[in-house]
Amino acid sequence: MRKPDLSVDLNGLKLHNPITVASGTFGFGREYSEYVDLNNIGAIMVKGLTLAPKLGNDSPRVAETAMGMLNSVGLQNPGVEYFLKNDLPWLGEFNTKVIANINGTNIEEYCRIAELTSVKGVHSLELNISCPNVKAGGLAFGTDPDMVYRVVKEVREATGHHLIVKLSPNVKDIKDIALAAEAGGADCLSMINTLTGMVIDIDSRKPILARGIGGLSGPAVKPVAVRMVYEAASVVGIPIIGMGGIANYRDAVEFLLAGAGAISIGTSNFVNPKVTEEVLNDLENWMMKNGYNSIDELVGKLDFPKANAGSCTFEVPK
Amino acid sequence: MKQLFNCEVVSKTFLNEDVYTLKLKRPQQMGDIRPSQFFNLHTKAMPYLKRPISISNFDEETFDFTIIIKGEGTKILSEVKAGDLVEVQGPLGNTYSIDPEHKKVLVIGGGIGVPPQAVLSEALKRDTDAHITVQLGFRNEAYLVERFDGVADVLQIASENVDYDHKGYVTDLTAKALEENDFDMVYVCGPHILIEKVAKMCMTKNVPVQLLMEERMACGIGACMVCTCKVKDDTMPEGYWNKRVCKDGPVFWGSEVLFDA
Repeated sequence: MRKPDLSVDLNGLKLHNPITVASGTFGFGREYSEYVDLNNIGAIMVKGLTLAPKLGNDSPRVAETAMGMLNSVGLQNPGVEYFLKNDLPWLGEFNTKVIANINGTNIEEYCRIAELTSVKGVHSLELNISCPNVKAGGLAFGTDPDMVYRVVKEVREATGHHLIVKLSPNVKDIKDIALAAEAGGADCLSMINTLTGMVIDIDSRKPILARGIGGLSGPAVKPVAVRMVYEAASVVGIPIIGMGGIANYRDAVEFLLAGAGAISIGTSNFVNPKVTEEVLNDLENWMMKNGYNSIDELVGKLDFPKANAGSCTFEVPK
Repeated sequence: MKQLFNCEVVSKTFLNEDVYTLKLKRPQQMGDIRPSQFFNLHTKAMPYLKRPISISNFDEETFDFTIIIKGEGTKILSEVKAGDLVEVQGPLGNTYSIDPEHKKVLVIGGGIGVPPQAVLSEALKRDTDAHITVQLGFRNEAYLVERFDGVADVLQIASENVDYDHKGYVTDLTAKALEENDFDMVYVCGPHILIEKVAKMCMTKNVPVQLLMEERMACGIGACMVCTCKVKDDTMPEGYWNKRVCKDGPVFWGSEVLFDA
């Protein structure tokens, strides 16, 4: 049997395989390099970057739930300058694409970080307008189609780099948000970020997270994510990186069939630090066994009419 | 490349109703294990996330975890039987600093913080000539006492509900010991409130203290940033940085941790 072609082209961002790792779940790659060969990963979305180093939220920052977890990290990171100086050169030693996940508290800040990270060695920027764990920026930008359009458009004007926009599931209609991001100039979408959730300790009658509410991830969110990728893919013309609870090759194939051009593994890394390599190997074997020659033969090939996906209300600005 | 291991359960022994020791077969490929290190344990029947558990004993053939049933995960883990497999990731985390020059050391363990102090006390006995005082605190019945009996020069036990050397908190014993002795080093592990109290007492008396911190974890290897400890950092506007308990710790120096920020 011939090996399938696993390479994907996400509107100019070429990956040697469709397996990527979700921002915030893989650090800057160093910790997992002790468990997997980073050369086997198509792209690494690095830990969310802010202009200045950010402390993040108080502890506890994690609460377990059925087949998943809530986090309230609040974007703790050493800042974009530190990343560019200390982590980017190290990541450049591997045959994997580097995607800088960028976070601002206002549009100017998003643009500034986009400019700073539009450098050699960073292959794409992932605009995070969907973090539920920060007071300013984040989700506030990602839930209103007009605001999504504005922030994406301004960042688009600030950089010529490949631009991914990470969407929140905490919205009324994901199609409107996806269309707005595309209209603003996104080259690609990544979805979904975490769903907002809460876990309460019944003995103390207090929320487990110090901040009360956090972001739900893990296999528990997968059906929501698959649905949203399907809905977004039915209305936009740009590729989507699908993520949300992927733990094995079957989950990955679901996302590809729903319309994702690549997939991202997040929380499952915590449970199985070798999951990326396992999904890659199992996906390749499954494709060979079932006669698929390329990833393209799977993307959006769901046997279900797209017309059933419903209508949307966002009008692309002239 | 670091390995994940499926380790066979050699035995499981309940020390009391809520505390049990799991003895696992130690894989040959596993690296050295040092005092204060922990492992991520998981079985298919357990909830989603792995459970970080400190090592409580080891030799060439086996390694042990003494675990308190605190929730669903540790309860399900208590149901494994000899011959079952437990998924093990580790050893993880940094280690206690042990100085062979030390002449007098104080080891404090409270509740879930008792098991790792047994490994530490044995290492201190083996690697130093120090006079070792051990103070253990329990809510009810004491456990693992026999491990400390053989290595401690002075062993004191406090329990909130059972009569041992002191009925009450172990920190009552610590306050007295710090008044009466000049320790070269103090090592403490246990609930957050115990660690904070001991750290503050030691700082007041200018006695160096190492804290083995416990925090809710997800990845256990330093990638997810959910387990943090506030550590002084003058380069930050807030005066501290959130270090990772799993990777930068779990051992921190009392002088570097900020409890009131």
